[in-house]
Amino acid sequence: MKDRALLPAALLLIGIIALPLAAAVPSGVSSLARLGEDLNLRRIAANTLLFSGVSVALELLLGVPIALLLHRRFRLRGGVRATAILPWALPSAVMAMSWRWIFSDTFGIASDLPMRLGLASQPIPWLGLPATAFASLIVADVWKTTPFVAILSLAALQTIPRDLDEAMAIDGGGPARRFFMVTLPLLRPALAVAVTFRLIHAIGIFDLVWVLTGGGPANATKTLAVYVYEQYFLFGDRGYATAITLATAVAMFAISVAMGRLIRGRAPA
Amino acid sequence: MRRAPFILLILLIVAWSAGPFLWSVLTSLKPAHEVFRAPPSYLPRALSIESYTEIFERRPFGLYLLNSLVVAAGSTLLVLLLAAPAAHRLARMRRGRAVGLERGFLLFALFPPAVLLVPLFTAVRALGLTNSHLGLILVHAALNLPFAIWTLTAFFRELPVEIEEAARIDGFTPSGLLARVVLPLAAPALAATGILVFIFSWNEFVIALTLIQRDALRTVPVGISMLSGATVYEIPWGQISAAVVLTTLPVVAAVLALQRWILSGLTAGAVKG
Amino acid sequence: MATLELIGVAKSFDGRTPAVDGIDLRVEDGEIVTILGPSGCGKSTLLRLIAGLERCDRGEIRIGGRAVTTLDPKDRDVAMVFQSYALYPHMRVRENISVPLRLRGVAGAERERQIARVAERFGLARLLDRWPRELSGGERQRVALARALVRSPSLFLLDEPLSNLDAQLRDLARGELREIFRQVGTSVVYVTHDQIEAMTLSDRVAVMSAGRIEQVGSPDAIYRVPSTLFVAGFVGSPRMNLIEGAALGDSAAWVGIRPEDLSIEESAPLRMRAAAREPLGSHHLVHLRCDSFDLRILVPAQTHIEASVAIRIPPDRIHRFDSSGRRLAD
Repeated sequence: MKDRALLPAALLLIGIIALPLAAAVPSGVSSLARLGEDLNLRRIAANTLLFSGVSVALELLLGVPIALLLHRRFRLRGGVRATAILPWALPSAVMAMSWRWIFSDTFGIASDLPMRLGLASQPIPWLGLPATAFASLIVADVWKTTPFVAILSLAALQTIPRDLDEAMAIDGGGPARRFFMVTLPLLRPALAVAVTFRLIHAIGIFDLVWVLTGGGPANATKTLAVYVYEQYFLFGDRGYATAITLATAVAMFAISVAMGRLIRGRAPA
Repeated sequence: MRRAPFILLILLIVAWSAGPFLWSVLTSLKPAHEVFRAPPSYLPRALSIESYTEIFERRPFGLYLLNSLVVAAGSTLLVLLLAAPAAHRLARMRRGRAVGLERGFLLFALFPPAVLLVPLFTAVRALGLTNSHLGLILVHAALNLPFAIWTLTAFFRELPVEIEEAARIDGFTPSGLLARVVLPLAAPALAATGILVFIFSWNEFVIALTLIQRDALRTVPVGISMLSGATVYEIPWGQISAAVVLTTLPVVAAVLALQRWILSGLTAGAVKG
Repeated sequence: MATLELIGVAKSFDGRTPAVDGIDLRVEDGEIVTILGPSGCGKSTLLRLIAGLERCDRGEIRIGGRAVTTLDPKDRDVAMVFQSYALYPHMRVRENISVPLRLRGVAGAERERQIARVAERFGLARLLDRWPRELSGGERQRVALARALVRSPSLFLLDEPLSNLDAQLRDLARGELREIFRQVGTSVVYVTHDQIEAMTLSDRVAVMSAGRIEQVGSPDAIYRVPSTLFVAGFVGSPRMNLIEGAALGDSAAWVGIRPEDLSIEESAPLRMRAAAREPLGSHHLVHLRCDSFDLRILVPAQTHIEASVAIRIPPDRIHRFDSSGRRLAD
């Protein structure tokens, strides 16, 4: 049978991902009841949602305009595009170290620059205070993943026939009207994919948090994935770690798919 | 848009995108005493490569690099080996059936690695493959396989089936067809997909952090995150910056040189699929 | 309704080779002018310059006496039908048609009334709630026309609007177009590479080649008195025979004669060999050969032709051109 070409790939996925996932479910389910009693968890879930919502919203607000700029023709466009997608391709954990250095209070450029510009009178302990640490995390994540939204938007822009924009220009639309009446509606399917995918990964974020803030100060930046890691590898509580994972996964898919649907809007039949 | 604001915006995008990397480059070239100067100097007053020599001489950075290379190359090879035949078959299948199977594969791509952490670790430990590159290669391959199948299927769908039909009439056996006709035609797509898988594996952190505890087997991202001194003020930022630069340099080079391929590999499935 | 004047209009995309090379053209109020030419001759660029989708390097464009050379498309009061129709895929037919009205602030009952009126005229009433992708090629073309004509533009531009239809539908649509042009009475600039469209639809035809207008005139004049060698060879099917004058003992550099103007007459002095025969339905095109040149002659299908025939070239049907391709006085 020809379909045996699919077999090795399917076996690897089943063996490494599906079976272990299924095997973990029972121990997780038996610990689900404990989720309700965990006050830390509420705080951490709220952190995760706030982080994901703000990050993904900013990525959309920046990614789409960047895609529009990179869609235009100009000299050195290839080089600019390559540079713009760079953050997305660089290792999160490694660049998190770079951001930690940038956000360092005594030696960091993010603390020094505002002082030189007269915006701050003393070094800002970016990673030392809950609110600023949270903001730092979002800045680093937006830096890292805006290119992903921009790449998908750019690819979608390239599939929109130029005729449509021109037709609306003749029908009487200025640039803003043309963007909101032609370009944006036609971008929506691609943006829906991008947002669904981005929300899933933002809710599951680990690398950046772990390296940049370690979840601190005072749990202010701790996310669900970091909490799972701690429960399992620090406290050895596999059942509880799995319970959080299951609950997270269900919520993650529900939220992401719902947001994706919302953004896609009504689709042409 | 007017020309001047447009150029300004483009410059802003470039500066913002390349900034953190460039700042690491500058830091890595400063001598140790200048790294820890407050307020910081923006351009190095003296250039020094001591940070670079130290990570190789006083830290096992060379070993980390080698480990990362083995794992990334191994998982890339494994992914292409498994994904190419599967994608080709999917592309040549009746469309309705293929879409169902493709979705089945794609389902696995939806999980962020951190969510799979606990089950993955349990499984790899049960196989006795913790603290081994093979275990990490298997996991990285599994995580990247759905994406690779997706993009390659989109590519094979673009390839005219008539070429393969002509080859079959010319007398190629099924395996000969794959080796002598399909794969050579697919080389660009395989390369684009391979580069992306390599980058994903090279960058991956959380699985590598948990599966491998022996320092001599660690990959670069984990190794760098663990470079530290005794106290906060002894964190060797010069060395870390040098390590950041050396780790990201191959990725930077790949992206700059192969921008078009990478974009096409990343978006083939998204746009055409 | 308005006149259109083009004065020395020029455009180059690379700064060296001109796409449109100094065009002067005047379209009278209510006149239908076709720009006819082979692909790459600059006719679509010229249309885009008129619409304002491209900016001229030189020259001036006036619509209704008003200079619009530097205006945006939306401020020129033109309507355009694109080759691809450019229907907005995310809008239903009703919304597609309503866009030009919405963008000009026509609202409420007035908008509905105008949409109903144009839907009625183009037979779209039962298609108003469909998506573009649910329409056939002919229906899409009618939606594109309706969208362009729902308001009353000064000038109506069409870029190869029939080229995406199959042959049968194209004949039908050509008739409909002529009827519509007559009804709305707006000045029309119509770009096509199809000479049948140009001949049947327009008051005047402008034949373009390599960025320049070769000749402007009524369809009849273009066919009967082509003013350049290019027009002589491009307009008319089957193509005109073009022979070096020397071969016929003529002082002109080039001599042209249409295949339908030649006749077989036993008394004629020119003897040629029949080389091949192309059936074209009611007529056949016969390829003839003699030592110094070839000719094609159009004959009724049942005509019997010997291996060697005598051909008459009526002197009053001859077109003569000088070495630069310009027509010589008859």
